[in-house]
Amino acid sequence: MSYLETIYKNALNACEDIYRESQYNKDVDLYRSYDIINSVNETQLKGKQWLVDTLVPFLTDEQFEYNPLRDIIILGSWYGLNGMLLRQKIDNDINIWNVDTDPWCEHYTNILQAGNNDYKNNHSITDDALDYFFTRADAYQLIINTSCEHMEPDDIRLILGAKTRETMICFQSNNYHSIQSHINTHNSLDEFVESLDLAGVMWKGEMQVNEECTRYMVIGV
Amino acid sequence: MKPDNIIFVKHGTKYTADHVNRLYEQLKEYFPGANYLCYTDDPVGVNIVCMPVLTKPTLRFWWNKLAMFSEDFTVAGIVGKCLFFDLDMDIKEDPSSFLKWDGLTILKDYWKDDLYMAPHAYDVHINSSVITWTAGEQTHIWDYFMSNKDYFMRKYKGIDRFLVHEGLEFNTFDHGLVNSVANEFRDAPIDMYNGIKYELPRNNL
Repeated sequence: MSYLETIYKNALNACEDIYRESQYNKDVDLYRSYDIINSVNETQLKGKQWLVDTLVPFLTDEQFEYNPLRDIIILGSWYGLNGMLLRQKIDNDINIWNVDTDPWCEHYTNILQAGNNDYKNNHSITDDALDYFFTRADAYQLIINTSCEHMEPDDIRLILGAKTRETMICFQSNNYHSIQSHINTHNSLDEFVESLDLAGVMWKGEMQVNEECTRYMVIGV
Repeated sequence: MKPDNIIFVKHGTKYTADHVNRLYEQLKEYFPGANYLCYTDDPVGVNIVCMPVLTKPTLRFWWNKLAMFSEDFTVAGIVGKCLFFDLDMDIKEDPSSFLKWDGLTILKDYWKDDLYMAPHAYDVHINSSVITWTAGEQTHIWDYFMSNKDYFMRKYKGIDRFLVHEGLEFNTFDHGLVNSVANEFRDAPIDMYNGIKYELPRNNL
């Protein structure tokens, strides 16, 4: 079974468990099953695979010569799909720290990762992503954030100000203005890149998701 | 009963300063002693005291209504009995006899009584177009929303569903406070346009 098939199988099992338990427990959150399905849908997969395929060529020994890549933090990691996809392309000894404020993300990330020993160093943390990062800002050599559109602009600037100079970032945002929880969208890739004011941009690009939405990504330091 | 504060929330471009000013003109006849406040991202043209929306967290649309329950409102000096109106309301008579301050009080949608509502659709029989509460006594609502706001905003289409399906306590006004113009007519002090009808011709606008 491929790693993707395992993720899908685990997602289906999680949804099945939620439905089954909801028959006997009124407190079970049925929406969670819909949320899990959405987290691994084609759009999510495409956006995160795009990130992995684009980012990995930059994760060279030369790039991390003075500070080897040991710890990666993924801010607002949802159910951990990004970390699972990235794990297929990086060494198993590198730690991936998935951080999300939603307490159920840790639970379902562990379920989606079940049965695959490759994820033994994919860790799931329940905490405010910013609080968690700021208390250990120098611990990571790579920061991934695929949900900049959900974060306050000044919080993103604080992250960039708190990281060490050589720490690489890979951030995504979009122009999907109509979503009610999107509070920090951008009208173009360049507008997004300018908002980050990076010391160096190593790569930037965009991907058309649908008629309403273009996803932007930047890799830099 | 009479409110100490009457609050409107105007965010985005769906409603204008004219909607706020019109409601103020209608309500001051019945509540001349109340403090009138508009919580807004754009105070231009609003003829009552305005309070800027919180800069953090940034919220969009109706979710800004929940900020009325935050500690920031009491810190800003809002004390006593609060009465909130959505901007798609038309005040025709004195609504005082229907108003009460007993925890969080909101409208019951009389026109939804016979509708089928699948549990996982999270639809509700209540409506937060009119709300009463006492300042500082509902801060737990805001705090709970903030504990997982992105998930709640994905799950629910609005604050009514959030209030009901997250099990937050509320009471409802007695029937007769509002007439929903899009549904079965009822004689009531307030006509309510239910958002979707906000562009309908309005008598005094």
